[in-house]
Amino acid sequence: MKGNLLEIKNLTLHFKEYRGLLKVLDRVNFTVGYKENIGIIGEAACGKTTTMKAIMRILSMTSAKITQGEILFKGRDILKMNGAEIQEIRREGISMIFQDPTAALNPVFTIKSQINNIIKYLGRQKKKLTKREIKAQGIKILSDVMLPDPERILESYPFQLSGGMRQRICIAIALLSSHNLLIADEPGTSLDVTIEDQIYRLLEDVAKEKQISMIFISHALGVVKNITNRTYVMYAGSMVEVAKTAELFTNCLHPYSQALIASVPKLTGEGTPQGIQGSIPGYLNPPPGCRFSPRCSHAMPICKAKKPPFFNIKDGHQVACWLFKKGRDQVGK
Amino acid sequence: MVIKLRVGFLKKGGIKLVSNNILTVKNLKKYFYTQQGIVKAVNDINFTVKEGEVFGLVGESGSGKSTVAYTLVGLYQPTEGEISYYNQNISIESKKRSKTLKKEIQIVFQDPGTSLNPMRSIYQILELPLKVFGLFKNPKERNQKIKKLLSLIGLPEDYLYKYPYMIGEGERQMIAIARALATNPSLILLDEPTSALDVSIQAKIINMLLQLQKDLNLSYLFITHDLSLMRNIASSVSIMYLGKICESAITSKFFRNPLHPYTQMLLSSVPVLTEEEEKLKPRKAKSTGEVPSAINIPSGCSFHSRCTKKMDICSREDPVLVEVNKEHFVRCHLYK
Repeated sequence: MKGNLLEIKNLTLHFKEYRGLLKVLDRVNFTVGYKENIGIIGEAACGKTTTMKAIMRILSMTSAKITQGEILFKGRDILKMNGAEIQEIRREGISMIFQDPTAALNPVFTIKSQINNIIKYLGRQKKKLTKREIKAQGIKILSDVMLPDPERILESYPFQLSGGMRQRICIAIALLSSHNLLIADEPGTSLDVTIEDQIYRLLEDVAKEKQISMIFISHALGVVKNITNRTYVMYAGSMVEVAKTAELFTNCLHPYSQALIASVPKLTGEGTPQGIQGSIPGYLNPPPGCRFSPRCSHAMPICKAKKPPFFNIKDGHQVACWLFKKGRDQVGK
Repeated sequence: MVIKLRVGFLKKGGIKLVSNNILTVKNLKKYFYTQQGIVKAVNDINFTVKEGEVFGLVGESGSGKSTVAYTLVGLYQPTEGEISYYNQNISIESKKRSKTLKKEIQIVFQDPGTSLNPMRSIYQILELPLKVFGLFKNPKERNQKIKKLLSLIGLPEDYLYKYPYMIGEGERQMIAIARALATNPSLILLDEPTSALDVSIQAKIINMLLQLQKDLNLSYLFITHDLSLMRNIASSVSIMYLGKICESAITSKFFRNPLHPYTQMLLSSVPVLTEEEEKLKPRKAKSTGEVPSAINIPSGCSFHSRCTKKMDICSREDPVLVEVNKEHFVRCHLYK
């Protein structure tokens, strides 16, 4: 399979609000290859979840306006698809795991009815499944995510299960419909450390086994390091650096990536890290040019005037920072 | 009683007390009686916080660590056991505690979004503890005190007239810390003060807390589930599991050699960035299972249902805390 599974080009997205226009995403570019795990890291409110919701087209279209850009899934632009086509993508192409499993499951239906509905409509075009086949599939998918006693779980309501079990069910549901791409949006943040660890190991295993690509978003940088092949660093609505994961965590170049990675407290105990001065700029009037420039210790005049494009460093390592302009190719336009 | 209290209070003025344990907790129990049964949220725990140290209390959700903090600050009355502040027994209800005592022990909650009143300006929020305790009655002095509090946490003065929704999450938590500092306490209970924040902001707040501790001679009881954070700030750590302390040691010793199977599992689940950190993690302790419900705590050792080194005795008999190495206590049958 050649090319990329998912390619996002210059995605720019604004939210309309009574105060004015929130310029949230500013020319986001990224790609996901076949059978590749992508990590996206960045502080809260930097547009990670918004980008993912734009891919699934589940943003509220009354306030969100995509002003330019393309989201190409297997070469077809998701943004130009009609209702039936986007439903097909959600049914057979991409699926998503949300941060909070309690909010993602419907509290008034049993797990069985939530899973069965999906199984029923997945097979809509092929042949009609009997009740017994649906149940067998439900049990199989629950045992795939290592849930003990799947028959009992099918009969229970979400509130009768623990957080870890609920998140496993969300993963099971996502796996049902995902044949190409799985988006995991901070799947472990609301869980305990030991449970989180189990969920990550499970995700890694199923992605490998089913040979699907995964976009993995997390605050926990250590987890991203363990399970992804390539990592993007996102800041205030655009990607600032991308590299192979191992390369990024040992040799990152963008001042923001360096500061972010240095902020993580170390288990070896080397004193408390410094953190980053300031906070993410407001989206109503974001700084012109590079949005990190007000917090950056290397800021130059050009940073405040013009947004830096990606510069090629070496095989796949790209940085959007004017510091690395000298003698390097610019990626794209 | 009154004299004792005075001595405890005056200590900051220079009178040296014999004991330098600011807080001693002995056999503390806190049960909640619900329709489903008794929830033993805190079940017989002991620890001491020394003057000027950062004492870390680590555990997963449902382990009872927040209940400990709430009991210490007086929000709950202990079911059994004794809490002493210096030498004074304070295991009484919040209502019955004297104001001098309440001033000495303050708390910072996990989520600043809900612990700050959204309808009050920062000025009003910081003024409240001064009003309640009748400090700085002169309006000019009170004004100055509030400005000084703001400068302690490094925020400019124009924040005084902002409301919590106008400022960032990290700044809100700083305001919550300033509010706790308003009464000049000597012990602050920090209940996961940074777990709702980004790592970059977390680092800033932690640095600020440590600086304040040095400048104002504070003691902290730091509650968290983040072991890598604990490694960097705490001088001693206790690990809680289902209402009991299962391991307790000095930080450096603990991280070099964790003994309890649960702490090994906890430590091996910590996501890390570098190779050196990876080496510190116990290899063969992959996490399994989930924390059982606090109503139906397993018999014997409460961890036996998830333990990889389970023996026959574990489900029958509850182990006691034993000192394995110097100042390294473990509650496990493996180390009898």
